[in-house]
Amino acid sequence: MDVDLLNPPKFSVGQELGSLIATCGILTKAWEGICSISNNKGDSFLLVKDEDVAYVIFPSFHNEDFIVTDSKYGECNIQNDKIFSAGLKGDDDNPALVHKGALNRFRQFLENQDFKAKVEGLKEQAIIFVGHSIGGAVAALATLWFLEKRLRNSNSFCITFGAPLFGNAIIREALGCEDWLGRFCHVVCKYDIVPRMNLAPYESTAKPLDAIVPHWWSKMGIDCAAVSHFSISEACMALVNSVLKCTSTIANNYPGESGLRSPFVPIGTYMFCSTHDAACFEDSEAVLKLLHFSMQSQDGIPFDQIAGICISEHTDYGHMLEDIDGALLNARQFANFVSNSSFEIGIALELEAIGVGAQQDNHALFALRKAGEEKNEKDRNIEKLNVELSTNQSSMAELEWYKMRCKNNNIGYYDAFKQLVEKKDFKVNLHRKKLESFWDEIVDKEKKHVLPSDFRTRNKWINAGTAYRRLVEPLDIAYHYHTDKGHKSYLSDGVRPHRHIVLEKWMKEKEQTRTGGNRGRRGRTNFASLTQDSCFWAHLEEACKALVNLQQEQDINASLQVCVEFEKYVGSMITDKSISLEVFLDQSSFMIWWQQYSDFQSPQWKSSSSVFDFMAKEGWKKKV
Amino acid sequence: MMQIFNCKTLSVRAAAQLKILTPLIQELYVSDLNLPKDKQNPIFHEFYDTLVRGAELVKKCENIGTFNLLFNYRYAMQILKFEKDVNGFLGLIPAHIMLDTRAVLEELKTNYPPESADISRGLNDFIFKQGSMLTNDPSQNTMMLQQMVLEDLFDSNDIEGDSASYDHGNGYGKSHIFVGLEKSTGDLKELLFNNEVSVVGVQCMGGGGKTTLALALCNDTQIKGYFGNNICFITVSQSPNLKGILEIMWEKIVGGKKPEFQNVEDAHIQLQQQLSRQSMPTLVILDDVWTRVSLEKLLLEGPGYKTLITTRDSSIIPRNFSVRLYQLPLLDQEDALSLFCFWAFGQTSIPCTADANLVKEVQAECKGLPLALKVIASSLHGEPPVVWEIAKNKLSKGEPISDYHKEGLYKCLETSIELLDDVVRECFLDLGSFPEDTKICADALLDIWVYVRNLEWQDAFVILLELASRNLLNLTSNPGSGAAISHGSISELYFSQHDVMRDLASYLGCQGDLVHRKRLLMPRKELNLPGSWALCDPQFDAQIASINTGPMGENQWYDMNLPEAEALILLFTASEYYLPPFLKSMKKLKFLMVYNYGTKRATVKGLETLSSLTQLKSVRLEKVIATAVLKQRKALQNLEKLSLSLCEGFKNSSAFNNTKLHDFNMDHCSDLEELPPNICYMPSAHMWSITNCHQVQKLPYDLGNLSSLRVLRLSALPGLKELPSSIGNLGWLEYLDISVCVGLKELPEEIGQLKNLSELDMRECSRLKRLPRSVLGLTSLKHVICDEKIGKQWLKAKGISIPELRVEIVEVQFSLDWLDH
Repeated sequence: MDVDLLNPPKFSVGQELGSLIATCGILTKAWEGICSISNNKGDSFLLVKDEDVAYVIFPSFHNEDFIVTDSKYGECNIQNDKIFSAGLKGDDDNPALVHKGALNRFRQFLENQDFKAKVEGLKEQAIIFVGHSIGGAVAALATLWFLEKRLRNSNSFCITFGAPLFGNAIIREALGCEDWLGRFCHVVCKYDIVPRMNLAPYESTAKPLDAIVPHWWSKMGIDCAAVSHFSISEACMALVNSVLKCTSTIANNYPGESGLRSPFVPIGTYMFCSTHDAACFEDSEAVLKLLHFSMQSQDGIPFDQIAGICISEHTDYGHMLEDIDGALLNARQFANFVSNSSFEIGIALELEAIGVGAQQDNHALFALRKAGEEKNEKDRNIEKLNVELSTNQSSMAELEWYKMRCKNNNIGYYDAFKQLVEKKDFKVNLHRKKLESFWDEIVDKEKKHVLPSDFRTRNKWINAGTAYRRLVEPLDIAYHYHTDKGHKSYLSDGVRPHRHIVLEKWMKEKEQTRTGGNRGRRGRTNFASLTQDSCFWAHLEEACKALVNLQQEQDINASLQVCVEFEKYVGSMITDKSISLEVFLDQSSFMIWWQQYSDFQSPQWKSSSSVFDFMAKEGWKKKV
Repeated sequence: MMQIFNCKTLSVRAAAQLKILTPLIQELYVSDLNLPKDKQNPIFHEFYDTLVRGAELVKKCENIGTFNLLFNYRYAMQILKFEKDVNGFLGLIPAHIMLDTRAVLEELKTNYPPESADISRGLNDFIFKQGSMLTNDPSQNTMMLQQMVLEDLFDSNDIEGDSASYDHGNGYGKSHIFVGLEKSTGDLKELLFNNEVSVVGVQCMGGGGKTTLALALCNDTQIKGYFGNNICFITVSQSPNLKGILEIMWEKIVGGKKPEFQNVEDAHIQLQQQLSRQSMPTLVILDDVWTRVSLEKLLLEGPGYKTLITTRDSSIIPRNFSVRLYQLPLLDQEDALSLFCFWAFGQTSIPCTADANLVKEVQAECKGLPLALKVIASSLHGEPPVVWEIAKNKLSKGEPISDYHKEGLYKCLETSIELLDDVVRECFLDLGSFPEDTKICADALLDIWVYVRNLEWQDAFVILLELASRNLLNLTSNPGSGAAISHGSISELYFSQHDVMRDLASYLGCQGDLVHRKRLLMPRKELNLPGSWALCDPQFDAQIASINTGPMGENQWYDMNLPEAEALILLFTASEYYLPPFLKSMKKLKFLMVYNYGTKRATVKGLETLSSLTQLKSVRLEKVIATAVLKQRKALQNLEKLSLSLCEGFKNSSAFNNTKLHDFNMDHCSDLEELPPNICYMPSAHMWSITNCHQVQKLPYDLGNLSSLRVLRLSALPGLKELPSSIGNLGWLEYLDISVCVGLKELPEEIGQLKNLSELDMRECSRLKRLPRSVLGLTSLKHVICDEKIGKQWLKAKGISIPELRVEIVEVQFSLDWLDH
């Protein structure tokens, strides 16, 4: 009886995007910059300004950047140098990793006062960080560093040519959350070995690299210090062989070997280029597979020759760009792929563009199709949630009315609902349940990665989630204490619903990244309409329990401690005005607690307590 | 199907029967009387009496208006019952007499209706259909019921009717009718726009249209243009929450951040300060102010600030140069006539078919008092000229309506009561047992009529609709409960009364000597029992008693004896309540209602007195701790109906079973987690309703034991994850309501065994994504209410095997009405 047919994705436009980027001139300009800086053989960067766009160009590479000493794939923790914010940390089991050589190089640039001052002094609206090879990875890190400054009036963008992978999945996720993935564009020649290189462990590539790097140097017009006697063509074969072995493991998803996989993943948009066309891909998994499949020849070229091309293409981006430019001017040849779906045709065009025939290679096709469908599903999920959110907002509005109605009866909605004695309280409970299942679903979906990667940082959802949490969590607490009759604290482990914990985390993360600092620094001028800490009532309930213990002379020290802590907590909330004035309504359970607590306290306390002062003066009545 | 709506057709048939049977039975009866006493057969006497009653019935039928559908319905039902009785007697008459009556029987057979069961069923369906269209707007309900009387019966052959024709506003126009207010609003506007005036008091007697006028003023374009958004309408009423009102005023007038007010004085001062500062045209309407004290707290001044007060008592309004008093005049002849015609004929002028002079004469007796016009006109709606004539004569004997003759209004309104027939009149008088302006479940009222007045339940329901159609009470129902009502489950249908009408009912119902009154009622809520009830001879004859107090202790009750009492209504606001000891004396008690309208659930004490109540048929508890009550086995042994609302105390509840219970209702019971053991042993239960019990996680696995169940309501149980599979055993189930069970993930496959299920309400079951395949077997299903996703699946099922299915897609409804419940 299932009528829910899956809507297939409508389009796939990677090829169009690729040819647009290839022909718009930015790439050519960027590559020219790289060539000029290589000729200068400098350690320094180059700044080119052109029509309100500033290009920051990093030099190609240094020999030592390739050398890995203390890790298997050349990765290191991004926090090593404290260049980047704590937001890019990951956790202890899964730290955020980046390319070590690139990170070291970038640190050197930063330490060079000139770089920081110059870049920060740029007035242009758009800044493009450009780099080739390891320089590309440096450019990516520079972009990240710049993005983290969150300057409102400038846009930064990153273009790399033949750059090695620069970070792991944690970095990708962090960038995804901020919706920054689109700011990275990696141009990759079909056979270029470097973008795949650190998918293989360093030990298997170290020796051939020794020979090849000087070779690249000379190609880029840099004087080479010493040429190894290891023959170039043998070195090529060895390098390509070991890289291919690793990529095929990854591309075919052989089980049981995931532990051996390189931590590096593609981050950002990858533009694969063949001699006649180009196509862009965003999905990280699909790119990973294409990195393997595109390197395999479809033209019947013998392996030793391919190995040669793999090496030579790394320095050949200039020619390639010219070729594409030329080829695109000629008449287009459409893929002879028969399908009614423009999505399928789009994929075929993309594969054609990067020189991987659609018919021959089903794996690449599958990877792209899967990526497209996943993206489509995410879009549809969010679309559905958007509609549901708007109906749930009506529930929220009804709850707001309930809150106001309670307030007019001189009782906070928390205390009113806790009684659960009027029919309207039951209606409120239904709304509470409805909202509960909605937000549980969202948190669950986000965890399963079936929502767009930047979902949890979208203002709309952060704000809706925070509004929900502040309004409804008190009801959850009330219901907990209504049904549980207070045996277990709401604050003890495993009681507070997971959704509130997650929503609060999202909000806090977002607060840290908000430009201009968070509200707290500016300070509130009015008391909040909803207590900012949604767990306030749970703290109060615990303080009430402690007070009862005190009155019965049980557990005196611990209980007194709880009460005093709570008083401090209230005091701080009064100071920063993050407490709602509804807490001070006549029939509020806080007022009852306070009355009993102040009776219990010593006279000295009265003169020293700031909260007592506030309460005695009925500070909430003061018109601000 | 025409004859169903016109009892005349039936009465002609009955008359024919009577003509044949009466002489025969009379003869038998007379000859029987001549026999010695011990040889007499009482059956002839009874039979003869039945026939005499039948004859009266037929006569009555001839007198009633053709178009009065509710009357038609009631009498049609009575005639059908009469026919059934006759049939029964004929079966009882011994064989030798049968021989004599063979010829008669032959004749009867040709005449006798074989389909009488079908007819009464059709009638019931029809009447519930009407009930199911009630909304939460009482005026609209009244108009709908009247419209039903006026429907062109000769056109509609289909009793199912077309529900679309009763959709809101379709054919009824606006539910608020403003008649003859132009002059008054004009006068008031002149006063309000006068710079010198800051307070205007509108005075008029109860039912004079003050509130209507104030509402009309709010909607006036000039007023709106001048005051803009700063118009604030506040109902003050008898016991107002002054601080709350001032807070609302702050929000409406000042806006922005509202300071916390310490008390009423503080609020008044702060608001006053604020108003002196701001200068903006503002209009505050204080509706229905009763005392000077509350008025003083609500009167404020400021530049451009005006207050309009409506009250019954002009002496509460302060006198000074900026105050003007406006005496709201009664409606003039012309306006009175159009309002009268609106309620009597559904149009604002006299229809050509009516006797214009007669109409004018009756209307003139109502003296332009809107309430009187409305009530009298409604009561004559659809009546034949004879009844109008009678009404006119009665009205003309009463005292004139005016402030000084309060009696006058009652006398006038009384006329509309006298027009009711005896049964309905008694029913109306019972309304005095309930407080005014409070929404009370209509089931309670019907129980009294059924158990005390011995009416059939359906008849009682029709009377309810009839009273509503005459504006004598207001009916409202929760949105979405229509389907339940159409199956006779009316726990979400509420009635309320205008205070004047309630006073009238208690005034008329409590005439005569206190001891011998049939109704012992308290006119107002008091802290204690009325002093006049403390008599040395504590014997009361009352049949119905209603007591409305605060908390009662054991010693606060008087020593009273009410051996005749059949219904007792205990209303109170308290957290602890001691049941009256005189319950012991109420051996005949059939109906008991314990209704707490305080803000906390009450503990009920003194339960041992319940043990002497062995005749109890219906018990209703609201907002009390119910555990101990349910343990009173003896009192509950003959119970037929049990309703628990907003109750608590079900943790570890003891076993509960009752073989006679046929109607079981539990709603808003907050701590009910699991139903009491054995609860499914109710072999005669046909209506079962558990709604809004949010802790219920699962239903008893032996739910299927409720074998005679017809209506099952399991609405708003958010904790419920699944339905027990034994539900498939409920072979007679006709209506199932699982709406707003937001936790329900699937329906059991066994649901397909409900061969008699005709209606299913499953709206807002958001987790339920798929129907089981077995629903294809629900071949009797006629109507499903659900959301869009499930709706598609039902449509598919309809296409396969349920051709008669109507799938109604409803969106989630949002409203704020629930805040006032």
